[in-house]
Amino acid sequence: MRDPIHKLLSPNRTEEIGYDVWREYVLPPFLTRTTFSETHKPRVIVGGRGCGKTMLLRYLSHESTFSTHRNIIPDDAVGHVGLYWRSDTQFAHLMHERGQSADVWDTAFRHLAATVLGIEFLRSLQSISNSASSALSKEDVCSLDFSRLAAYRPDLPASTEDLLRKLEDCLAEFESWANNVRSANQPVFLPGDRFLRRMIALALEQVPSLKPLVYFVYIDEYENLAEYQQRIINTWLKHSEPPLIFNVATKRNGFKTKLTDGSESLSAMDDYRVLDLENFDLDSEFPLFAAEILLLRLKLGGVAVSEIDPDQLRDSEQLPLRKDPQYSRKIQGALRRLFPGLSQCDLAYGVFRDVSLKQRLLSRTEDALEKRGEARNRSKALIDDKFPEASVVVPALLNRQSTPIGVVATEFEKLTSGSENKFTGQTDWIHNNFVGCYLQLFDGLGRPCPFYGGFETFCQLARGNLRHFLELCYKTLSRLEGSGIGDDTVVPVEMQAESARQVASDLLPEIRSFGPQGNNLHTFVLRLGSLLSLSQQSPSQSEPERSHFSVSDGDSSLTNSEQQFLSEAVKWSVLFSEKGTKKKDVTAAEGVEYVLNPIYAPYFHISYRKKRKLELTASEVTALISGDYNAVNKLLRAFQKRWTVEISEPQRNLFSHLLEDGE
Amino acid sequence: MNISLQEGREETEINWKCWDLVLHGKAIDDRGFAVLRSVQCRTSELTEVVYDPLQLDVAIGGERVPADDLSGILSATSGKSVLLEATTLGFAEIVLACKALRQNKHESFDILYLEPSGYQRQLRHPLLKRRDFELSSEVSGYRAIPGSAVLLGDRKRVRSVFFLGYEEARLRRAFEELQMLSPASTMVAFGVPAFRAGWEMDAMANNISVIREQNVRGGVHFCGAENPLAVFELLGEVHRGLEQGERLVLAPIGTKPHGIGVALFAATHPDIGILYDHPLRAPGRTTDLGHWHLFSIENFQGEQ
Repeated sequence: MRDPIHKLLSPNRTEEIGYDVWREYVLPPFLTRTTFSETHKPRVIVGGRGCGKTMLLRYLSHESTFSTHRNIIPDDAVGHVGLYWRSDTQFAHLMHERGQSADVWDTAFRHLAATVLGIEFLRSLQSISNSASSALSKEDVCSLDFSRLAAYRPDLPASTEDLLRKLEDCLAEFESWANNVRSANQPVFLPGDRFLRRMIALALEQVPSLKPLVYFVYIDEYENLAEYQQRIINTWLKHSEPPLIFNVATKRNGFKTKLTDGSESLSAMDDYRVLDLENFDLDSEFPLFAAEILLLRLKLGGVAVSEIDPDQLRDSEQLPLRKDPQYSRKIQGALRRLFPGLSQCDLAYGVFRDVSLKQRLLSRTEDALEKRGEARNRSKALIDDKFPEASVVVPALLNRQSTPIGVVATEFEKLTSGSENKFTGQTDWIHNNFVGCYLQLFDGLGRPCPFYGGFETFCQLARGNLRHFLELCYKTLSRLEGSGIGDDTVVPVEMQAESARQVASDLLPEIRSFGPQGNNLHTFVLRLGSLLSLSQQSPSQSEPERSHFSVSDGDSSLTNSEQQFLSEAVKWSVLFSEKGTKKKDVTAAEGVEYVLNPIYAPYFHISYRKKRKLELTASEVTALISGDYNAVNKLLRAFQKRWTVEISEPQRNLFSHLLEDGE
Repeated sequence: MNISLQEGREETEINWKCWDLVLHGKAIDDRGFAVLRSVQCRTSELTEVVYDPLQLDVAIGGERVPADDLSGILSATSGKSVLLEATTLGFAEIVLACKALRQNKHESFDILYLEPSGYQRQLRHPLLKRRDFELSSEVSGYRAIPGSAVLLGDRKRVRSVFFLGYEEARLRRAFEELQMLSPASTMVAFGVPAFRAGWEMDAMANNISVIREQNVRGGVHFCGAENPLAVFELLGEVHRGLEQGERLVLAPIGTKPHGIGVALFAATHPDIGILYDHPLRAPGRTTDLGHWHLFSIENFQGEQ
């Protein structure tokens, strides 16, 4: 069956799916059965934008656990009933100052939480009673008596339905008061987590079958809460115990404070466990997870997909089966057939099959020879279509003053005659230089570079970001419009590569919306990407595939605001920070390496692989973060000179501003 | 409520009045200085009003007060003639002032707006330009305005109308920061006809990618870029079409006259919520002077 692509893969946001995500959810294979079910320790769920936090939280919430799509719900499901809450941050900004004391806003926030979570609690009872679970019947819900809540507020009614309606009215009343704090009467505030605990206790008292009931509150987008609001949540998290456990989900560096209402701060070891949704093996676990999600989307859309069983994907009991290597090969194999990539050898042969690429390779080889005073026709001995990979790296080697041309020629001859040589073996010029040299052949050609195609490549470009992975697939499959998707569909690698470039350029403007520093993060990425792209243009490729940087004297040599800026870049996954490796100068300070999010690599025409590092001085990083245009211009020109890059007409897209300004 | 519109290519083409009080903002470009010079001789009192979205207060006549207190401060204006100088006032100040005037029982007032003749527009172009590499100021982002706030929630049924201008980043930021907004019930409105023929294409071309990415599908509307009355009428229609329990939320991130229409509608419909991102206006953003507009509001306390 062939279905319109838009219907199958859009939407990409959890919000568009709804509250019950049971049918659409794929449990991350790197979780274990016990991740959620056998611990009452609060969780701090960490992950970048698009890594699946909201989807996981909604999967763990009552509407999915007690989904009407589930035919069988185990008895112990009531041991983990999730309540999802995402605070409206634009409204929450209203809840400070305005002539009111901090105490008023403190209690107002507790009241807001009590009201929202109280509503969610009552809805959870309805979800359980409407589901296949035997823990609670509709009659049980009808018979519940919450009249003792009137101790908190006399106008709270006793029955579940009336109380639900009343709490919804309380929200409207609260909104009205918060809008007009000077003129409206302050509502009677409900006491935050204590109110919720009381509600749970009343239900447990009246329905004995609910004895194992434990509620897990999941607060999404914790990083957007004001500092005093985080302090309140931290307190609830610290004092979590059954039947009410608080958990939060946040982007990286999302804590504004770890203070609580008490004297002790929140402590990672004692008070909560961190679940890092991006802390999985990018080479093995993420490709399987991503493939399963895409195949499920296709299957739910009506495409014949035999490789997966949707029930297995959402069942924590069956997680071990999905870790079986044979299963993983089968799933990933399906995606490799749909999005085939090219091996390094295939890429190299492709250069020789393409007249214009082959001519480029020849011209660059001849130009390099001429630059070093050699005859252009010596290139004949250095390009051989039977040794395409070696031929591709030859121009870079010829551009290295430290490598005599005779050595390159001799080694090439040894290679072609089957002797030990530096193109392979220990020195391995091919391995070290191929990708950088191959990318250079496509500079300014205005056509897709097949290096950016293939299922594995899509996984590496997405780097754990499911939204980006699905966007790559969606954009690629959209190009098949008209023919649709079937189990025999194979997307040409050039089409995939073009989609990768399109996704990169579509996602760049998004950065402007990443928090208060969004505009400057966007500018920073353009500056950094241009610098890495300049490096990629270096004719000698002495340091090919630079895609990350570090500060040569360590991050401490940066100002506080610059460190905060980099932290913000990491929070929004514009950069990834990794522990420093490979220091050229062993006496230099140990530092952090910052990797540009590889999803932007096709835009800048650079490698998405983390290979070589660019060491920048503190002042160079300062120029990239906060320098004015002239400082950045000066920096780019200095590196352009250092790397002997000539900016030619075809590369104007990235460097047009340098050409416009003249020398 | 009635809105009558006057438009003139030159200042002299407007049938001017005199006012007891002119509320204005900071002049940051040619238009601002020109318009303040013009009103200076037509009033006995000029008062500057500047809203701070971070502190939620208003600087008015050298005093800082909580935004909630603006109505009280302006209570002394009852019975006086008032002009809101909307070229220099930001949207937040305009909506706060309109609500304060309504609370103080003003039956009529005027709003002045001077169009730019050109904008330093940032258009889509494959080449990166110098400005792409230049720094911008921080953005405060979407923050509720006291008196016009709506509490969004994942379960709350909200119909939103975004009035769009050139800067697609403002619409994109809304969906990034306000994830509870449903693309299915989000409408967009463009300023057509635009201030100048052809400008509407810039606004559409810039925003279309976000509309597609977010799958915004609540409908597209067009109101003259310089016409607050058209906005008011459109919103009346949308408001009447709301389903039971559905709230209307407005995001005026396009032209100033659209913002004026939204402010008037919000002042006369207290159940309306406003989403606004408080951009910092860059000095010298607009060039030269365009058409002059004087909008006269009558029967402001009447039935809507």
